[in-house]
Amino acid sequence: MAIGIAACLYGSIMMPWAEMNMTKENLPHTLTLLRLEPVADALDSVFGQTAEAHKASLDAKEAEGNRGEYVYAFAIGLAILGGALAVAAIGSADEQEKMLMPEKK
Amino acid sequence: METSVWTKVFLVTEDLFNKIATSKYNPLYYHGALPQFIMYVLFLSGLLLFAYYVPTIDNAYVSKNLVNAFTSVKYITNDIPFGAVVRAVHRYAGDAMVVAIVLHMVRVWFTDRYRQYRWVQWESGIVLLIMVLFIGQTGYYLIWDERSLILTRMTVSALETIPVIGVGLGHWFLNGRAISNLTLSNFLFIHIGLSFTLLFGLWIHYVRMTRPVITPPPVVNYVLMGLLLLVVYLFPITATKMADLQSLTTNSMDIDLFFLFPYWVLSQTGMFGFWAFTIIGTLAVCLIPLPMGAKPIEAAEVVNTKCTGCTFCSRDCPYQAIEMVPAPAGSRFKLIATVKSYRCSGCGVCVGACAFDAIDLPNLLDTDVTEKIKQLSKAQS
Repeated sequence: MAIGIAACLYGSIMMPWAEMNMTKENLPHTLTLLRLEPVADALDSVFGQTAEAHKASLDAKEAEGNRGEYVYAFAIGLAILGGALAVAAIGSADEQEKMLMPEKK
Repeated sequence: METSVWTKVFLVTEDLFNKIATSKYNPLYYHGALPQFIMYVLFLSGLLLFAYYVPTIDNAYVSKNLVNAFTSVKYITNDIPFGAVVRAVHRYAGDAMVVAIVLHMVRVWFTDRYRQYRWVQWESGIVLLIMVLFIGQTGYYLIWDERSLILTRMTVSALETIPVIGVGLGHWFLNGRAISNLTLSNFLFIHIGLSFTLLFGLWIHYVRMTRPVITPPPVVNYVLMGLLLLVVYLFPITATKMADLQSLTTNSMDIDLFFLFPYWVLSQTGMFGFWAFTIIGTLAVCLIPLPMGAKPIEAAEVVNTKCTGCTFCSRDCPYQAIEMVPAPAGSRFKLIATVKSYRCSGCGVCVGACAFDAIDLPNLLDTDVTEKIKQLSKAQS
């Protein structure tokens, strides 16, 4: 369950960074008005080192379209899988079906 | 009844999945429901693509810039936010649907669930699979790149070899005597129209089932969606070249084997091999279960003197094989159960449901069924 929650959190935090096309320079103007630059800086410091690897991987596959969108797909996929793992770990506690045998009369 | 080797293989595989994912989240228990969930993903992603898609091959008269099917797909991929991801999700969800349907079909086959009255489910399932394959193929035509043009020409060539109606079919397919703007309108109509027709096909597929499982647990859906998005990242959409109608050369093309394998067969074997493969393959899948499904099943029998008309057996029967009818005059009860023998699979669910020993299988005593259920229950716990 802990792994699932960790993966879910990692993917969820990665999503806004990927949405900014993997660079803090693309912080939308509306968010700059909210003085969210420190958040963008923090995200970039966490994930920034992986940006080149993601870009290189997608370039090698000759991906069409915005690179950040594919990384966003990776992040949300990771978050959903992690979430599913955590929910399954909690939900499997009542895995056994309750079987009621009818009382023969 | 003896268990076949393949049935054992499936049981072992199921057991393995139960150990990994627990029985509550075992995807093999939702093999019929998975394609339905994927269909919703395809409908939603397709709706987003449809909003920006222009079904023409050349619209240069309307705009200074060329606006046609290919450039609109380019626009979706490069300019619409998350357009590339939505397009890739639409594509890979289609592949996932074929995989899920084939898994469903194979499991139904090897667990003996296609026999007797279930021929409706089997045959309607084959029709649904063919529809899904054709819908997927028309999706490849819609992109209108070089591959689309090759596929269109191959399809017309194949249709025109059919005696008497072939040329007409070719014209129907192209929506005219040659490829024109109307051709892509036709492709789009087939792609979307046939997709919605799937819902009618599904109704027929479910009509004889009491409680079809059509929704997997949310966790299974999450896993499927998560995997789909990871596949989008691992295998992104790649750029292609616009179809050139003046080009007469047939270049090689990438083949998506999930949908385009008939074209691979056509390229490898020629027209005769293609039609032989298509006709014999389809007939074989449709007809083989019928003689094999003729294995007689001894239907459950109601003990009229014991039946109280409680309706438990009728409600529990998965195959709508038990009907409650008015009890004969003089009975203490209002209703009595009757078995439609042509729908009964002899599964024994009704025997387990009856609290009054009022329904039996001819070769299986009520007490034996109860004892067997108790043994299995103890073994599981």
